[in-house]
Amino acid sequence: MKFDDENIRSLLTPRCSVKTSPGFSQKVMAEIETMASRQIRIFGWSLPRRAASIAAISLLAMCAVAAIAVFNYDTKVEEPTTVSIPDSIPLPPQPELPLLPLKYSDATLATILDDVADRYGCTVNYADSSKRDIRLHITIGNEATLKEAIEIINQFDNISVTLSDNIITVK
Amino acid sequence: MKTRQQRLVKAEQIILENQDYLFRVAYFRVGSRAEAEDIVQSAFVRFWEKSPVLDDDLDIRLYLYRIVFNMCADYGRKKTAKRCSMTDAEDITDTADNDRELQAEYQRITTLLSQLPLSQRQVIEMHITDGLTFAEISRTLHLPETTLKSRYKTGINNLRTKINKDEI
Repeated sequence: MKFDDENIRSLLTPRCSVKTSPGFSQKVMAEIETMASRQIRIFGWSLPRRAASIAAISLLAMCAVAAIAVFNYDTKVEEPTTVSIPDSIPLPPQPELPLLPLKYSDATLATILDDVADRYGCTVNYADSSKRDIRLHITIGNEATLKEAIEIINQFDNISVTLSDNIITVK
Repeated sequence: MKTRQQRLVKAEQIILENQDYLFRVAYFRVGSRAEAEDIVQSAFVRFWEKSPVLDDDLDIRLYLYRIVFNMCADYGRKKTAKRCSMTDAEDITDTADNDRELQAEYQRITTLLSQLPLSQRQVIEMHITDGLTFAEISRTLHLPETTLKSRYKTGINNLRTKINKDEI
Protein backbone atom coordinates (compact mmCIF):
# COMPACT_ATOMS: atom_id res chain seq x y z
CA MET A 1 0.00 0.00 0.00
CA LYS A 2 1.42 3.40 -1.03
CA PHE A 3 0.86 6.28 1.37
CA ASP A 4 -0.26 9.58 -0.06
CA ASP A 5 -0.68 12.87 1.77
CA GLU A 6 -4.20 12.06 2.94
CA ASN A 7 -3.13 8.71 4.35
CA ILE A 8 -0.30 10.37 6.22
CA ARG A 9 -2.62 13.05 7.52
CA SER A 10 -5.00 10.39 8.84
CA LEU A 11 -2.08 8.43 10.29
CA LEU A 12 -1.06 11.45 12.34
CA THR A 13 -4.55 12.21 13.58
CA PRO A 14 -5.56 10.55 16.87
CA ARG A 15 -8.17 7.86 16.27
CA CYS A 16 -9.70 8.08 19.71
CA SER A 17 -11.31 10.93 21.54
CA VAL A 18 -8.84 13.09 23.42
CA LYS A 19 -10.71 14.74 26.25
CA THR A 20 -9.98 16.12 29.66
CA SER A 21 -11.05 14.16 32.74
CA PRO A 22 -14.64 14.64 33.92
CA GLY A 23 -14.93 17.63 36.24
CA PHE A 24 -11.82 19.27 34.81
CA SER A 25 -13.58 22.54 33.94
CA GLN A 26 -15.13 22.75 37.45
CA LYS A 27 -11.67 22.24 38.95
CA VAL A 28 -10.21 25.05 36.84
CA MET A 29 -13.17 27.32 37.60
CA ALA A 30 -12.77 26.66 41.32
CA GLU A 31 -9.16 27.77 41.15
CA ILE A 32 -10.04 30.85 39.13
CA GLU A 33 -12.84 31.78 41.55
CA THR A 34 -10.43 31.43 44.47
CA MET A 35 -8.04 33.75 42.70
CA ALA A 36 -10.83 36.18 41.87
CA SER A 37 -11.97 36.37 45.50
CA ARG A 38 -8.35 36.96 46.56
CA GLN A 39 -8.12 39.78 44.03
CA ILE A 40 -11.38 41.21 45.41
CA ARG A 41 -9.85 41.40 48.88
CA ILE A 42 -6.88 43.30 47.53
CA PHE A 43 -8.59 45.46 44.95
CA GLY A 44 -12.11 45.37 46.37
CA TRP A 45 -12.38 49.11 46.88
CA SER A 46 -14.53 51.05 44.47
CA LEU A 47 -12.82 53.33 41.97
CA PRO A 48 -13.63 56.64 43.77
CA ARG A 49 -12.49 55.15 47.06
CA ARG A 50 -9.22 54.02 45.46
CA ALA A 51 -8.74 57.46 43.89
CA ALA A 52 -9.42 59.16 47.22
CA SER A 53 -6.91 56.96 49.03
CA ILE A 54 -4.23 57.63 46.40
CA ALA A 55 -4.91 61.38 46.65
CA ALA A 56 -4.68 61.26 50.45
CA ILE A 57 -1.38 59.38 50.36
CA SER A 58 0.01 61.83 47.78
CA LEU A 59 -1.08 64.80 49.92
CA LEU A 60 0.55 63.32 53.01
CA ALA A 61 3.76 62.71 51.09
CA MET A 62 3.81 66.30 49.81
CA CYS A 63 3.19 67.65 53.33
CA ALA A 64 6.05 65.54 54.66
CA VAL A 65 8.42 66.79 51.97
CA ALA A 66 7.38 70.40 52.60
CA ALA A 67 7.83 70.00 56.38
CA ILE A 68 11.30 68.55 55.94
CA ALA A 69 12.23 71.42 53.60
CA VAL A 70 10.98 74.08 56.09
CA PHE A 71 12.75 72.41 59.01
CA ASN A 72 16.01 72.28 57.11
CA TYR A 73 15.65 75.96 56.09
CA ASP A 74 15.11 77.08 59.70
CA THR A 75 17.75 75.10 61.44
CA LYS A 76 20.51 74.77 58.97
CA VAL A 77 22.05 78.20 58.45
CA GLU A 78 25.08 77.77 56.40
CA GLU A 79 28.08 79.77 57.60
CA PRO A 80 29.91 81.63 54.88
CA THR A 81 33.07 79.91 54.07
CA THR A 82 36.16 81.94 53.37
CA VAL A 83 38.98 80.76 51.33
CA SER A 84 42.27 82.60 51.76
CA ILE A 85 44.35 82.84 48.67
CA PRO A 86 48.05 83.65 49.26
CA ASP A 87 49.43 86.64 47.37
CA SER A 88 52.13 84.62 45.82
CA ILE A 89 52.77 80.99 45.76
CA PRO A 90 56.45 80.17 46.11
CA LEU A 91 57.63 78.08 43.22
CA PRO A 92 59.82 75.12 43.96
CA PRO A 93 63.49 75.79 43.29
CA GLN A 94 64.35 75.10 39.69
CA PRO A 95 67.53 73.12 39.09
CA GLU A 96 70.13 75.15 37.26
CA LEU A 97 70.75 73.93 33.77
CA PRO A 98 74.42 73.44 32.87
CA LEU A 99 75.76 75.90 30.28
CA LEU A 100 76.33 74.40 26.89
CA PRO A 101 79.39 75.25 24.82
CA LEU A 102 78.76 77.84 22.09
CA LYS A 103 79.32 75.80 18.98
CA TYR A 104 78.98 77.29 15.48
CA SER A 105 79.41 75.95 12.01
CA ASP A 106 79.41 78.51 9.21
CA ALA A 107 77.70 81.13 11.41
CA THR A 108 78.11 84.90 10.97
CA LEU A 109 80.22 86.85 13.43
CA ALA A 110 77.15 88.88 14.38
CA THR A 111 75.29 85.72 15.46
CA ILE A 112 78.28 84.49 17.45
CA LEU A 113 78.86 87.79 19.22
CA ASP A 114 75.16 88.26 20.02
CA ASP A 115 75.22 84.91 21.86
CA VAL A 116 78.50 85.81 23.60
CA ALA A 117 77.00 89.17 24.70
CA ASP A 118 73.89 87.37 26.02
CA ARG A 119 75.93 84.85 27.96
CA TYR A 120 78.41 87.24 29.52
CA GLY A 121 76.12 90.28 29.85
CA CYS A 122 77.97 92.73 27.67
CA THR A 123 77.24 94.76 24.50
CA VAL A 124 78.73 94.57 21.02
CA ASN A 125 79.89 97.53 19.00
CA TYR A 126 80.97 97.26 15.34
CA ALA A 127 83.61 99.77 14.18
CA ASP A 128 83.64 97.98 10.85
CA SER A 129 80.15 96.75 10.11
CA SER A 130 81.34 94.73 7.10
CA LYS A 131 82.81 92.26 9.64
CA ARG A 132 79.30 91.26 10.78
CA ASP A 133 78.87 88.88 7.86
CA ILE A 134 82.13 86.99 8.16
CA ARG A 135 81.34 83.32 8.52
CA LEU A 136 83.15 81.18 11.05
CA HIS A 137 83.48 77.65 12.44
CA ILE A 138 84.11 78.10 16.13
CA THR A 139 83.54 76.51 19.51
CA ILE A 140 83.64 78.41 22.82
CA GLY A 141 83.73 76.03 25.74
CA ASN A 142 81.10 76.25 28.45
CA GLU A 143 83.69 77.04 31.10
CA ALA A 144 85.47 79.76 29.10
CA THR A 145 85.51 83.28 30.58
CA LEU A 146 84.60 86.34 28.50
CA LYS A 147 88.26 87.11 28.08
CA GLU A 148 89.00 83.59 26.83
CA ALA A 149 86.05 83.82 24.44
CA ILE A 150 87.46 87.05 22.97
CA GLU A 151 90.85 85.35 22.56
CA ILE A 152 89.28 82.45 20.69
CA ILE A 153 87.53 84.84 18.29
CA ASN A 154 90.71 86.87 17.82
CA GLN A 155 92.55 83.79 16.54
CA PHE A 156 91.10 84.55 13.09
CA ASP A 157 93.36 86.79 11.01
CA ASN A 158 90.78 89.09 9.56
CA ILE A 159 88.97 89.73 12.82
CA SER A 160 90.05 92.02 15.64
CA VAL A 161 87.89 92.10 18.73
CA THR A 162 88.64 94.07 21.87
CA LEU A 163 86.96 94.19 25.26
CA SER A 164 86.71 97.42 27.17
CA ASP A 165 84.24 98.37 29.94
CA ASN A 166 82.13 95.38 29.15
CA ILE A 167 81.80 96.47 25.51
CA ILE A 168 83.05 94.21 22.75
CA THR A 169 84.32 96.27 19.84
CA VAL A 170 84.85 94.70 16.40
CA LYS A 171 87.40 96.42 14.20
CA MET B 1 -15.32 47.28 32.22
CA LYS B 2 -16.76 43.86 32.95
CA THR B 3 -17.92 42.94 36.42
CA ARG B 4 -16.35 40.06 38.23
CA GLN B 5 -19.38 37.89 37.59
CA GLN B 6 -19.33 38.66 33.88
CA ARG B 7 -15.66 37.81 33.71
CA LEU B 8 -16.23 34.50 35.48
CA VAL B 9 -19.06 33.57 33.13
CA LYS B 10 -16.87 34.42 30.15
CA ALA B 11 -13.97 32.43 31.62
CA GLU B 12 -16.15 29.38 32.07
CA GLN B 13 -17.34 29.62 28.50
CA ILE B 14 -13.72 29.87 27.26
CA ILE B 15 -12.70 26.89 29.36
CA LEU B 16 -15.53 24.72 28.05
CA GLU B 17 -14.81 25.70 24.47
CA ASN B 18 -11.06 25.14 24.57
CA GLN B 19 -10.24 22.58 27.27
CA ASP B 20 -10.34 19.47 25.07
CA TYR B 21 -8.43 21.11 22.23
CA LEU B 22 -5.71 22.38 24.56
CA PHE B 23 -5.59 19.05 26.38
CA ARG B 24 -4.97 17.28 23.07
CA VAL B 25 -2.19 19.76 22.23
CA ALA B 26 -0.55 19.26 25.61
CA TYR B 27 -1.09 15.48 25.79
CA PHE B 28 0.61 14.78 22.48
CA ARG B 29 3.61 16.74 23.69
CA VAL B 30 4.02 15.50 27.26
CA GLY B 31 2.39 12.06 26.99
CA SER B 32 0.78 12.14 30.40
CA ARG B 33 -2.83 12.96 31.30
CA ALA B 34 -1.91 14.42 34.67
CA GLU B 35 0.86 16.61 33.26
CA ALA B 36 -1.26 17.72 30.31
CA GLU B 37 -4.18 18.66 32.55
CA ASP B 38 -1.86 20.56 34.87
CA ILE B 39 -0.49 22.50 31.93
CA VAL B 40 -3.95 23.32 30.57
CA GLN B 41 -5.18 24.38 33.99
CA SER B 42 -2.17 26.64 34.45
CA ALA B 43 -2.79 28.10 31.01
CA PHE B 44 -6.38 29.00 31.92
CA VAL B 45 -5.26 30.51 35.23
CA ARG B 46 -2.61 32.57 33.46
CA PHE B 47 -5.21 33.67 30.94
CA TRP B 48 -7.53 34.74 33.78
CA GLU B 49 -4.73 36.80 35.34
CA LYS B 50 -4.01 38.55 32.06
CA SER B 51 -7.57 38.86 30.81
CA PRO B 52 -8.25 42.39 32.18
CA VAL B 53 -5.48 43.81 30.01
CA LEU B 54 -6.04 41.74 26.87
CA ASP B 55 -7.56 43.23 23.72
CA ASP B 56 -11.18 42.42 23.00
CA ASP B 57 -10.37 41.29 19.47
CA LEU B 58 -7.71 38.83 20.70
CA ASP B 59 -7.74 35.36 19.15
CA ILE B 60 -8.28 33.59 22.48
CA ARG B 61 -7.81 30.08 21.10
CA LEU B 62 -4.42 30.96 19.61
CA TYR B 63 -3.44 32.90 22.72
CA LEU B 64 -4.20 29.91 24.92
CA TYR B 65 -2.48 27.61 22.42
CA ARG B 66 0.70 29.67 22.69
CA ILE B 67 0.65 29.48 26.48
CA VAL B 68 0.24 25.71 26.36
CA PHE B 69 2.85 25.38 23.59
CA ASN B 70 5.41 27.31 25.64
CA MET B 71 4.60 25.46 28.84
CA CYS B 72 5.03 22.13 27.05
CA ALA B 73 8.39 23.34 25.73
CA ASP B 74 9.41 24.25 29.28
CA TYR B 75 8.22 20.86 30.48
CA GLY B 76 10.23 19.20 27.73
CA ARG B 77 13.32 21.11 28.72
CA LYS B 78 12.93 20.21 32.38
CA LYS B 79 12.22 16.57 31.81
CA THR B 80 14.09 14.50 29.28
CA ALA B 81 11.78 13.97 26.35
CA LYS B 82 9.41 11.20 27.21
CA ARG B 83 7.91 11.07 23.77
CA CYS B 84 10.94 10.25 21.66
CA SER B 85 10.97 6.49 21.75
CA MET B 86 8.86 3.51 22.58
CA THR B 87 11.20 2.62 25.47
CA ASP B 88 10.62 5.99 27.08
CA ALA B 89 6.93 5.80 26.41
CA GLU B 90 6.73 2.58 28.39
CA ASP B 91 7.71 4.50 31.49
CA ILE B 92 4.62 6.62 31.40
CA THR B 93 2.38 5.53 34.22
CA ASP B 94 -1.00 6.51 32.82
CA THR B 95 -2.50 3.05 32.91
CA ALA B 96 -6.13 3.77 33.57
CA ASP B 97 -8.37 1.64 31.33
CA ASN B 98 -9.91 4.60 29.53
CA ASP B 99 -6.45 5.97 28.78
CA ARG B 100 -4.99 2.85 27.25
CA GLU B 101 -6.32 3.67 23.82
CA LEU B 102 -5.14 7.23 24.13
CA GLN B 103 -1.73 6.04 25.28
CA ALA B 104 -1.49 3.72 22.30
CA GLU B 105 -2.36 6.57 19.96
CA TYR B 106 0.24 8.77 21.61
CA GLN B 107 2.88 6.09 21.14
CA ARG B 108 1.89 5.43 17.54
CA ILE B 109 1.94 9.10 16.52
CA THR B 110 5.09 10.03 18.41
CA THR B 111 6.91 7.02 16.97
CA LEU B 112 5.94 8.13 13.47
CA LEU B 113 6.96 11.72 14.05
CA SER B 114 10.19 10.82 15.84
CA GLN B 115 11.61 9.73 12.48
CA LEU B 116 11.70 13.37 11.36
CA PRO B 117 14.02 16.25 12.23
CA LEU B 118 12.58 18.55 14.90
CA SER B 119 11.95 21.50 12.55
CA GLN B 120 9.81 19.37 10.19
CA ARG B 121 8.14 17.44 12.99
CA GLN B 122 7.09 20.64 14.74
CA VAL B 123 5.34 22.08 11.67
CA ILE B 124 3.56 18.81 10.85
CA GLU B 125 2.46 18.42 14.43
CA MET B 126 1.14 21.97 14.64
CA HIS B 127 -0.63 21.77 11.29
CA ILE B 128 -2.10 18.27 11.43
CA THR B 129 -2.39 17.34 15.10
CA ASP B 130 -3.05 20.80 16.48
CA GLY B 131 -5.09 21.99 13.49
CA LEU B 132 -3.37 25.35 13.10
CA THR B 133 -3.20 27.18 9.78
CA PHE B 134 0.22 28.12 8.41
CA ALA B 135 -0.55 31.77 9.22
CA GLU B 136 -1.20 30.83 12.85
CA ILE B 137 1.97 28.70 13.01
CA SER B 138 3.88 31.62 11.53
CA ARG B 139 2.59 33.94 14.25
CA THR B 140 3.47 31.40 16.94
CA LEU B 141 6.96 30.47 15.77
CA HIS B 142 7.82 33.86 14.23
CA LEU B 143 8.87 32.20 10.99
CA PRO B 144 7.75 33.05 7.42
CA GLU B 145 4.88 30.99 6.04
CA THR B 146 6.94 29.95 3.00
CA THR B 147 9.59 28.42 5.27
CA LEU B 148 6.94 26.56 7.23
CA LYS B 149 5.22 25.24 4.09
CA SER B 150 8.55 24.09 2.72
CA ARG B 151 9.39 22.29 5.97
CA TYR B 152 5.94 20.74 6.04
CA LYS B 153 6.20 19.47 2.48
CA THR B 154 9.69 18.07 3.02
CA GLY B 155 8.58 16.46 6.26
CA ILE B 156 5.55 14.81 4.68
CA ASN B 157 7.70 13.52 1.80
CA ASN B 158 10.27 12.14 4.21
CA LEU B 159 7.56 10.49 6.26
CA ARG B 160 5.93 8.97 3.19
CA THR B 161 9.26 7.63 1.96
CA LYS B 162 10.00 6.06 5.34
CA ILE B 163 6.53 4.53 5.66
CA ASN B 164 6.54 3.17 2.10
CA LYS B 165 10.03 1.76 2.67
CA ASP B 166 8.89 0.04 5.86
CA GLU B 167 5.85 -1.34 4.03
CA ILE B 168 8.04 -2.91 1.31
